[in-house]
Amino acid sequence: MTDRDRTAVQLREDLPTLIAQGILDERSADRLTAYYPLPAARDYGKRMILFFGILGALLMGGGLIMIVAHNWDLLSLSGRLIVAYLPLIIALLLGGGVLAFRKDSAVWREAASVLILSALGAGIGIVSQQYHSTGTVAELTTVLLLFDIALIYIFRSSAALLLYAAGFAVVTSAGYNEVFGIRAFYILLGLLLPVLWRIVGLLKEKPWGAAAHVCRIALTFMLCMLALSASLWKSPDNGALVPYLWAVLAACLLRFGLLSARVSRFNPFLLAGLAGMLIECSIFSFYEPWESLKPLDLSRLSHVSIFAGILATLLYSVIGWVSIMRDDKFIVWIPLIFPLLVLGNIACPMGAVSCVIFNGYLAFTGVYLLTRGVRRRRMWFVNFGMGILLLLIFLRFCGGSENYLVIGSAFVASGLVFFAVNLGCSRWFSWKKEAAE
Amino acid sequence: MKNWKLWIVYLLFGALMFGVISEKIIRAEWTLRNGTEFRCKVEGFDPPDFLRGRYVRFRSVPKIGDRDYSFPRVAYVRLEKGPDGLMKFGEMMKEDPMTGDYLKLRRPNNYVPFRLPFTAFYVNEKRAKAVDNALARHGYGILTFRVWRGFAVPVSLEIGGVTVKEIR
Repeated sequence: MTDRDRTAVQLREDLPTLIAQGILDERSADRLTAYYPLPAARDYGKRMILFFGILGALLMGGGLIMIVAHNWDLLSLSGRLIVAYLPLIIALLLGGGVLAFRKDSAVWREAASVLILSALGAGIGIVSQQYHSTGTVAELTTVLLLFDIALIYIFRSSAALLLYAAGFAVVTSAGYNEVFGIRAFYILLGLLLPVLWRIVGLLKEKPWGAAAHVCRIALTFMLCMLALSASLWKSPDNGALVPYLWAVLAACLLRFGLLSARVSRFNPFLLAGLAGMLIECSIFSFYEPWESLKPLDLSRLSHVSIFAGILATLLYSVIGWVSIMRDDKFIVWIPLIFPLLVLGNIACPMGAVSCVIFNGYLAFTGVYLLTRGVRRRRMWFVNFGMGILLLLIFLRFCGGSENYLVIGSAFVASGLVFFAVNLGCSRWFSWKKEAAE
Repeated sequence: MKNWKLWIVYLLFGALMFGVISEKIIRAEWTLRNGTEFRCKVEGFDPPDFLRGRYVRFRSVPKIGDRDYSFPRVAYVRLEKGPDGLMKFGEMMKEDPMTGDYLKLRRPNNYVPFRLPFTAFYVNEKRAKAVDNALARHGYGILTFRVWRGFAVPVSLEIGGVTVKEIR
């Protein structure tokens, strides 16, 4: 969607208020509506199908790993080895097909890269189970990251790039000392050079737009790395501070993202903020993290941790203040509530009560976004609301000792549900728009 | 990138992926066929794990080289069989001896003891609960593993004289 399209959509939202307050008359409003026509429905469709192509591939990949977790010891050795190679063979054939026939389709390229990486993870997983090999998460992620770099080049895949950033965070946090020590941090940071390759490509295509993107990516990355460094910094008692730092970071990135969503189509703030919020929601929907938030003993914190805490609080205050001054709508306050809950719980530990409040807050947010999306015909809201509700159901569903085959199949099914709802909703919205016109 | 170059890179990339999986299989199969068998006593439980399925995580396995600062993060230890038939540790080495029965050990840093290279034994999810109960009842199990050139592959886990495949 271009800036002009966004203006057209925003204009449709604001026109009734402008007419009611006498700022515009009906004729001027009609002329403005004619000057700014609504964007074609297929623009939305392309973007959504790309996004949910990736999501669908991710869910199917996740489902594959779940099915692997089922433990296939009823099969013979050769049978199990076939099961280990099969997902990879299929994914590589699909990738070859994409390179041969669908090289120009972003959806196919993104989905193929995610599927290949998931298939490799599933293959390594089943072999590890077969031989009771117990490498660490950081070791497995490091291997996957090395292949992910190649996928970024071969498929020009943004999803692979994002997976690299996520994997990088996993390796630096989980395997900070375990795999290669501090060297791992610098090696993997150095391998982020493909990001520069992507950015140079963007700069060639759209010089002005790409320059702005570089700044946004760099800022997002720097903020994440700063919070990561503060979390990993050796300190006798920075446990309670870490969730607060990440809550503030995700909330602020999401808020920056919502602010700049109308300026730029490629918005790393929004992506990082959404991903961060989803991860934190997954963690804090359980009771244990709330229970572990104890009052802070400042005398036991390192200088780095105190500095990071002050910086996070300042950032949070500035964002809160900007939101108050701009008289923002309720929707922008949703992410900003989460750090407040964490902070409240650090000051006054409530454990189970906070957990119940947070789950209620999540359910409310999911339903609110879903209904708002349907009412305003905004698929991003519909999907994010649906994502939060699905996440809550999955977390409760997968918390116990249920059958992995069922969970894996549920993941695959939910990927299909996402596809179906998006396709259905986008057609319904187009039909409503045509009917209104 | 030109089309034929891209295809070459893609084919190499695919081969490398197969190589990663195959290397794990070949090394493990070679160890299972040619390695020396050892047994050791382990305690464990079945932890809830969202991604890795059901397995017995060994709670306590013998620790080696308690806070030995003189050794680097990678070391090698000779394995011997004790009078009770269970494994016992022999000489610790900084260099790979390349002969005899030994284990390659790693540790995250110099301030903690070395750990054994295996920490879990995967079980079928249908039997996982029964295995967990059996471990709780007997307190420990006997893990059989094979070793070849420092690499170890667990073969079976017995609890109260019964292997986990037979536990119902």
